[in-house]
Amino acid sequence: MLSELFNYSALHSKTSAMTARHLTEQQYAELADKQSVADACSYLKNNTVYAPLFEGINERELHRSDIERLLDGYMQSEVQKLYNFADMSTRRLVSYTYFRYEINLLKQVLRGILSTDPIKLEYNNNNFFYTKLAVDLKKLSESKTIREFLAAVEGTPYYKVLSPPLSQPKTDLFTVEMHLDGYYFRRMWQLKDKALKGQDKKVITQSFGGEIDMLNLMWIYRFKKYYQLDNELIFPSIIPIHYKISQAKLTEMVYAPDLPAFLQLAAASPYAALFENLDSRFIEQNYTKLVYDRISKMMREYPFSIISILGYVHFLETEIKRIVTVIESIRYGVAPK
Amino acid sequence: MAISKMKLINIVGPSDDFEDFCADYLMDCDMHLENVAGALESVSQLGAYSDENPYADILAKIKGIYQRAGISVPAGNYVPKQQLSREELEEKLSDISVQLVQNEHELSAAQTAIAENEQIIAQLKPLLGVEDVAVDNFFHFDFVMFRFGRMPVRSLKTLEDYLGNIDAFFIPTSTDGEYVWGMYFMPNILKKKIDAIFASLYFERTRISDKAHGTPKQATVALSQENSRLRDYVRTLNEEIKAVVEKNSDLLHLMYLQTQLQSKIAYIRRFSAHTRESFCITGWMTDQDVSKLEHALLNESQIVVQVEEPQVVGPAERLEPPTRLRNFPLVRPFELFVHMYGRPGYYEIDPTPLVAVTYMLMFGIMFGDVGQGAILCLGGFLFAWLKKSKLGGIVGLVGISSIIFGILFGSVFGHEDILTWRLINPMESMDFVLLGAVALGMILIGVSMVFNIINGVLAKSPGKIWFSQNGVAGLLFYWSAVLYAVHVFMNMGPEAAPWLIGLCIAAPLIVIFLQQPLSMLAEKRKDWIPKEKGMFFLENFFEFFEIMLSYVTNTMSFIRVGAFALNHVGMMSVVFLLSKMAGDGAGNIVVQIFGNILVIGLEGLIVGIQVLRLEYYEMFSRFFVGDGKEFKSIRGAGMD
Repeated sequence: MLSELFNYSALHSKTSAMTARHLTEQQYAELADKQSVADACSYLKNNTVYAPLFEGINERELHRSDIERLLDGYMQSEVQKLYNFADMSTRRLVSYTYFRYEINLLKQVLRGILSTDPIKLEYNNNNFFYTKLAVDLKKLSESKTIREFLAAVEGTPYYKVLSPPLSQPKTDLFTVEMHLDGYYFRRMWQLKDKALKGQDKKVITQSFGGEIDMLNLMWIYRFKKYYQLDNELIFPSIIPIHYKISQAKLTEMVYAPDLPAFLQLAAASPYAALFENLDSRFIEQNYTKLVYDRISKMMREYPFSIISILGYVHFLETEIKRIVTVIESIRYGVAPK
Repeated sequence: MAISKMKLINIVGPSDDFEDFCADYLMDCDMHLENVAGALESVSQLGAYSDENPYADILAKIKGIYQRAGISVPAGNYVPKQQLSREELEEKLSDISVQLVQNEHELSAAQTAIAENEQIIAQLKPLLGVEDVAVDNFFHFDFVMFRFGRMPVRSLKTLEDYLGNIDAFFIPTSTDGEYVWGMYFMPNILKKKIDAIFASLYFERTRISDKAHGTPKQATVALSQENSRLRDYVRTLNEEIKAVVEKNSDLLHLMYLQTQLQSKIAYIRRFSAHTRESFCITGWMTDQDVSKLEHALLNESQIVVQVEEPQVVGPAERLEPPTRLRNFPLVRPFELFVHMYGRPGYYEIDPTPLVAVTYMLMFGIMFGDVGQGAILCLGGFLFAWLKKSKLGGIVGLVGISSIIFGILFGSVFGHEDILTWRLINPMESMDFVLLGAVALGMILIGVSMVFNIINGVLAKSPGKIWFSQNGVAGLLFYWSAVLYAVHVFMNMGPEAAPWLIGLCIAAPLIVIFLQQPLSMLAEKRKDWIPKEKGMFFLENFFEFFEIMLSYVTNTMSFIRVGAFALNHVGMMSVVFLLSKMAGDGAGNIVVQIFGNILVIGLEGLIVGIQVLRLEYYEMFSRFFVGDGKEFKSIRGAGMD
């Protein structure tokens, strides 16, 4: 305990200080009250920690996507600060940030291609994450078809993961994304076993383990809800890591005859909250909230551990997502909630 | 001196002639480019060029063609003038590519077919025992179906972990790391479901029935024959590709040289700057190269060349000349060790010759053996010749030194009885060897101080020359102390008057203690008197103590030179002892050979490292700064 206190007291105070500078609920409300995107930008420029981002930029000319990019760059530079601050083993684990970022980029591009509306990736090669990625962003952003996409990731570990599902006559986006998530978690699971020990390992196991379990449950849920196919077809996309739900339990859930039967089993699992109020909410919303709650709880329980980094990064991501959502709702005239 | 004298050369010419000028005069020029835009910040109209190489992709394509044809990229000189425009280049390149594309297509198809056939052969292997049933019949069972194919390795794991209880079983036959090949069997009535499961595991079916006929054995033979036919075909295709490339080899070569030229011009452009009408290139060259270039440029009326001395531009524009070492070929390998420590600055003496001499000398003493030295020598030079390795050269050279000292010590593969004449037997005159090593160390430390004094003169630093512990004061103190010690302990050397001893030992010590303020005074600085005198004396006292200690420890450190000379004899006597225990026959020889290899490998390595340590700690730390920058010639640059 004492050694962790020494190792992480600096990091803990750093992340606490970084967190403290951020937006309050009051500020969110004020931001949401703005009439135009430009006004919202002015608000961010004059009242928040994001002020330096808008320095020397005329906020009247900013497009919504520009703001997103600025905020994204901010997040990366914050992660870089933590990265430079951390010791070697922590650094290895912080790699999860850019690793996940890369996975999200791949998902974005894939969604674009599959919806036959390829997105244009805008990237700044000097940003921290981009110096760490394995994929060739130029090729990736230029790919318009699945074939080009595969050619762009050839030579990276993603090729092996993506080539079987993408070579199918009919590509199912959910399945592909599940494979990417599976790869991400398999790799992180190995990494945390190798790089960490003691409390840090325990904390990360708890954090990642929970996410894996929930992703698997969500996959079964979606499959049973939207596809009328044999249960066995669920398995190939399951992430083969079991934290609180044993392999036997999971198999039982997969073979549940129908959705109500599955929900009954799920309600008895540690993740019952994931399936609450599904008539009024999306399961993804529940998932996001649960992940947030779990991390907050762990941050309280183990303040002097690696979770202070994970927590801060997660907090930052959530805040940026909220700001982007607020700005989007201003842009499209949707009432804030 | 072994560091080339440099001059700064500025070339200004009309913008439009930039490329021609580079192509005509600079391609083989030994010039270290300086970033003009950075160096001449003050000139406002001067702008940098963009730093993209527009020919990078074409160069890569040409290299790709060579690579596919299995032909090594030809070496050669640059074409003087551009002969094809960029468009022509691209057009001609695509012409060649078109000729290759058909062949390549067929090539990859044939290679896929070969791989597939091989997999089918592997899958038929378990069935080879079935003599009298044709393969086709396997596909027409009433109740059981089976399928050949492959799936990703991960899928097999999923199958084993989660799908153990489905009504089918999978028999893997082979794996290539990424995919598992094999077959699965299932009841006919569940065909649809099981096929769906395997499809979700990304099982890719290979239709054996299309390719394999007859009994498994017959099918295997037929497939093998087809494969050997396909392999011939692949060979023909490869030859055709090569033939196409060779047919176009002149053109390709021309294009290759031209794009390389362009790439190199792009490299020069990165460092250059331009105004609206003129370009400007700045770089460092040696005297001879400058006059050669000036001579070549006599007829170019539009080009203006201005040559400056480093002593003039250095302080004014903060331009440090790069360091280019020029050493005698036998000494050159030792530049490796110098560079590992640092690159000599332009105003510094190049320690490479000193390293070469002292390294060889000490290695020879520590590892003196005619036979083992000869092996090191042969092996080292062979390695240097084959791999162009500097380290190989060093090993070869120290091998020679080892042979020489082997003769002096009378040792051949540890045998002391083969050579009858010897100068000295280390084991019998231990005191001499150890004291001699320390004496050698004293001389080398003295030499290092002399080097430091020279460096001080070159750097125009009076403190370094006179007051430092490695300057004149240090040298005087060190050698006075050494001579006095020799006189007292060994009763050798001249008797000196006590006042002279006092003067020669005490006076330099005071100077060293006060070196900081004295240096500042010599540089005519006003603030030379330290502000906090108490702190000054306290700090300097400890520093002074460390300096004194390091004189002693550095000197004693050289004992290892003698100790290893003894150690070598000791290790070889262990080898002999063991070989004697092994008896008289072949075992004896085996133990001796093995022991010698071990000693060469182990002791050679340790001695090599120990000597390097002596060079770095005991000598370099006294005089070598090593903050120079490397001379990067245009000639070797911009090739990729």
